[in-house]
Amino acid sequence: MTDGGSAEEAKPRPARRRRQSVLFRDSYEQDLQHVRGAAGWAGTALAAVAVAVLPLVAQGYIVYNLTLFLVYALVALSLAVLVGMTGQVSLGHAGFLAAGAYAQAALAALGIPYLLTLLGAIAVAALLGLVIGVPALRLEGPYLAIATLGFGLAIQQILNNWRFVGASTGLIADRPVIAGVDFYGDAAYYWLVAAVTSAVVLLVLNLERSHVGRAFRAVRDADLAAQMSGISLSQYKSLAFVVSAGIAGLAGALYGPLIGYLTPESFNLLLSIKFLLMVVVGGLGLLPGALVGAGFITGLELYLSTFRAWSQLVFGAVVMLVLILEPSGLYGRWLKIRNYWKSWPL
Amino acid sequence: MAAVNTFGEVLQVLVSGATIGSVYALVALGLVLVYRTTRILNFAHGDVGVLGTFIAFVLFTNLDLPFGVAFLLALLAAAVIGALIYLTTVRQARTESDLGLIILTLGLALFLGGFDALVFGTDNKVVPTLAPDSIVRGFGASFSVASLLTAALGVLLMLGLWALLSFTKLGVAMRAVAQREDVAEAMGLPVRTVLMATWGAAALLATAAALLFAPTTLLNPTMMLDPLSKGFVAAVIGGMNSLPGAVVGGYVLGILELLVGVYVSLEFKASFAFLVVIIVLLVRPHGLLGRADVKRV
Repeated sequence: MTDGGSAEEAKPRPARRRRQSVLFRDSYEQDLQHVRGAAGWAGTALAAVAVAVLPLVAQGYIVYNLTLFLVYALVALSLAVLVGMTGQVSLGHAGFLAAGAYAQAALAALGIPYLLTLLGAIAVAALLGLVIGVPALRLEGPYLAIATLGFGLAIQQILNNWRFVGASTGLIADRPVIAGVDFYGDAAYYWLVAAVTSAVVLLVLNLERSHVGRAFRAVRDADLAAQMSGISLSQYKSLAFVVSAGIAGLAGALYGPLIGYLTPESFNLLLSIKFLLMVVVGGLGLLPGALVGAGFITGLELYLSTFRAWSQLVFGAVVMLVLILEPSGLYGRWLKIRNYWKSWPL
Repeated sequence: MAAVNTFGEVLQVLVSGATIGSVYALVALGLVLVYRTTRILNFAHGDVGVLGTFIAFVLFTNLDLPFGVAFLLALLAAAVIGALIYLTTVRQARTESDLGLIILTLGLALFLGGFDALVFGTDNKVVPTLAPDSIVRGFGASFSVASLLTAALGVLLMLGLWALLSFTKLGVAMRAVAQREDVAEAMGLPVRTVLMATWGAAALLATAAALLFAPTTLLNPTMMLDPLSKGFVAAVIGGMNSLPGAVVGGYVLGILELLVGVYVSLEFKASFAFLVVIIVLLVRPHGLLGRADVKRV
């Protein structure tokens, strides 16, 4: 905000209104903006440059883990749509991830071009989302949690016994070649995943501020009142499942070629739980929170892997501490700190 | 496979199903007990049970106590641990969302699992049965004494819980807090103590289930993963806020699962439970004996 002089002159809007816009909004247009103020634009530009340049300076295994973070961030985003926006719990998102990953690998094995396999993965996962979303309409709270948990385990069982996708031995997923350009290297594949993830982040941000996003949140906060205002509960609840499953499927399609080899065991209940941890630890109901949570959980796991026997204990303790100390999550805490300084001394 | 369908064979399947069913029912009872008072799906339930079983194992092997005594001491220790867990984590959480509390118990489950692995090791340990593993024959079938005792102990514990909730002051207070916590507090009930007792009782049930289940598998930190998910299924089939529902769900699931394993296919047995839960929920979204929460607008 302090060094935004030149940017303010470039825009016709009065400076006073823009200065207030970080904390308070006084027009609908301000509410629609994804990035607010010069500081916001500077931060976004810095983040974009950092994401683009990182593989040039970082070591191979760090690039690999960054790619993994981006894939997990996609799944966390998909859960943020389902759990954060519409308030439907899913303990089976590893199932959608698996569906996407297996669909991509199976289609690629048939010789279908890479971009089409991505679409296929999204379609398969979204279809599964519809299959789960429609019966889930009647369920809420613990019943939905257990039903989705069952879905995740059932997918694992099916993959474990299905010969076509290699049963328990698994399936090879190769890194893609698009229009003659190969993405075999870790850095090249990172850039591909980063591009897709950025696009989905923008898409979900736009979804949130659209009428659909508002309907999702209305369904979450007061389903009966939403229904009275003409929002079809069944339509929007199942739509949330389809969108969420589709994004998770896309994440799966990126996940397969990253790790190179798919086995049913890798899509276990613990993975589903980890995705849910990301959303809640990052800040439930806040889209950037999903990204923060994905980064935090992935980073924490990587860091704790050096602790060996202690890692699970510390992981559980950290998760509990975050939830006990800050119910609105890491990003929620950051918002509180930022708003405190912005409005100081009030 | 289903060539000979004698009465004895069916009886044997029913008894074996009831044995594993009583483990599921005990797990489900603990889950429902916690859910209807604090609205928490307790994913740490299994790990509390495993911790109690490890305590019994240490008392039995390292201190050379008789297994029956170790069993009872472990149950008591688990009750204390359950109460402490409520006091130190659940009560401290300032989150108001149900999901936040679920995640808290997931964190607790990871913590307890990590603790078990660190202190007791991840290798498999053999837990003895309460009775020598002899066989009795009758009605054209043969039953193991140990599994009959497991089923009997399960029933005994369930009757004990029923007696506690029906005939004691504490039990009535537990039911009152489950029904309306704010009113119970306004009437002067010590809600914190009652909730500690509820979590303690649930931990005791979890440990009993784990101790009865342990001889059929081997003791390790992830032992309760399958019984816990089956316990959730049983609780959901019965209705998350109905204690009789949890018992019914546990036995129905145990027997159905074994029938499927024997007469349909063994591979299908593992995922069968989740097919049952989806079918039951499609017909009755709040379980067989559960009731929908009435919402005020």
